[in-house]
Amino acid sequence: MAIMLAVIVLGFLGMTRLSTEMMDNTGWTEDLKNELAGVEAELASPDLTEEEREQLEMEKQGLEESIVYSIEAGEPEVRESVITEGYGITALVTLLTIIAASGIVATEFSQGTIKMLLSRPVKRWKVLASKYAAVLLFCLLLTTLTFVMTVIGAFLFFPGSTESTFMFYHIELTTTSFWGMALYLMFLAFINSAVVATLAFAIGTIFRSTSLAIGISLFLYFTGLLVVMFLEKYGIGKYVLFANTNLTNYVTDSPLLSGMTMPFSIVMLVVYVAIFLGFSFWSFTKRDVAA
Amino acid sequence: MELKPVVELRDLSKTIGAKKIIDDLNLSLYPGQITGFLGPNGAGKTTTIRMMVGLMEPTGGDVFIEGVSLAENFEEGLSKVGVIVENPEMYKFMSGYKNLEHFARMHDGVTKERIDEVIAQVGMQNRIHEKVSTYSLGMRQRLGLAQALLHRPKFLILDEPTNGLDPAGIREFRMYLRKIAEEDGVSIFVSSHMLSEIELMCDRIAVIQNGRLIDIQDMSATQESHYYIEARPLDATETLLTAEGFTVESFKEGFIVNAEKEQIPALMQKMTTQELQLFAVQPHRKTLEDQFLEMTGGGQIAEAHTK
Repeated sequence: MAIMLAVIVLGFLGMTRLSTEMMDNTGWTEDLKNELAGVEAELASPDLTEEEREQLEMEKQGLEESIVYSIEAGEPEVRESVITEGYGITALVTLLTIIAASGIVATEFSQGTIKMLLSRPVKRWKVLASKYAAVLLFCLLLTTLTFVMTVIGAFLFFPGSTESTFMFYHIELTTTSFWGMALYLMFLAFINSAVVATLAFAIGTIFRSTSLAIGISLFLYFTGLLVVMFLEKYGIGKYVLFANTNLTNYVTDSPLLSGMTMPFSIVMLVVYVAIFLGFSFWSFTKRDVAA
Repeated sequence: MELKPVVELRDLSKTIGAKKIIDDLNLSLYPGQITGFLGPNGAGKTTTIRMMVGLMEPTGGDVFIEGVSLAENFEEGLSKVGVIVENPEMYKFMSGYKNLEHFARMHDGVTKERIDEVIAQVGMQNRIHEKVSTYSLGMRQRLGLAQALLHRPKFLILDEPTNGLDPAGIREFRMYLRKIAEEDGVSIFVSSHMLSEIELMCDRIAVIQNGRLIDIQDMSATQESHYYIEARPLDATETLLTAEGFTVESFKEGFIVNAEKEQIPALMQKMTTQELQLFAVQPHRKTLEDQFLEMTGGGQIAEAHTK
């Protein structure tokens, strides 16, 4: 899984670079300019009908827009922007962690190994705590790996920055150090993945079924924001788990809903995680192993 | 027996919904003894065993291992118990050795040398580093026994242990259990459907039916002396045997009588003087199966309840 993730991250960055390179084709811009010159020359000739003139004017306008666009789109991304935006790829980390967290307890039940595991002189809550710790470590490992691969990819494929490109990407170097910012965003993304993984872990532990846990968690993960928007009509959208998971919003963007703050979201996440773990531990320690 | 019991079940009960699965079970198991645990399907064998190893929580009563209550001090109590519950399910994607290492970590003081020693004892040296998914059922049973023995338990619980072993394997397994019972004073509790197996292996049997313990017997005490006598005509033979004061029971083409060896010559003389045609006289051993069916009244399955 880790290797797959590393390859995907590197591949993704390489593709991004490749596609910008294609757009950054100055020859293409030249062609557009030549074509524009041709159209202008035609417009200059006196014997044109009103209709023809109108059509050429439109063509000219389109070409002019294309030239501006091709220059803007070709503006190369720089190393620093790639690294600070690297947290975007962690959706993949969340996905992989959900799969691991869903199965870590449920598979013991479906394979029957739970009998071997729980007939040991170790209290059940300790067994579950170590399983949860393993999930968090796995999530941390994947997040770290994503970050490292992003940095490697950024240095491999993208040019370093100049003063002007920094201005272009509105990165405020004066207030926060660049690496600090990148790590901070990654950490917030890790919290996002870890909270969603806790949900998957709880479902897997309570229902003892891997597929159910993966299904429900992924469904909620993808439709969570829709639910938030729906419930917002009644003013309770901000209390939904998935309105609060994406803490990076508070740093790079505006809050998801007006009136939400980072401390509010953190409190909500703590409450949700406590509930998930509470149910998991209760279910795991109290229920008999029958089948 | 003067020995202190290793394991005691005291008033052990389990109620699921409105149904009493296990009803006030009291049982003591002693060091060096192999006790068989018998009962028809659904009698509560597995439930009892699961309560003894912490997989299920009793609704009443308690299990004591060397005087330590499982309810109060689970970790200390269970550290003396080795368990195979039904088929030993191992992590298939790991090698046998990795599995043993994994389980060894959950016990105190299991060294690498101990792991190797146990592997040698169950004869798994050659295949131990292969993945469990490549093992046959018999190999898995051996690995299951190995993991149960890692921490030198004082008490070994085996649920259907010989399932999947070949005849040589079963024999070896039996000898091995006898050995650790006698040499290390381990108390062994075996649940099985294979009555002939239990008969060969156990010193004592406990029979459970409908959640109640209905009998505990020492195997040696059950060997009453019986003889099978076949003679013609049948009615004259029966009259004679009854007149001599034996308890007579029809069996195949003759009768079973509870006679002592010393009584046999005199009895045969009487039969020949009465001109009965004597075909066969032979010692008859009641099998455990006969006894079991007698005790459980034909071994009908307890009223269906969800497992």
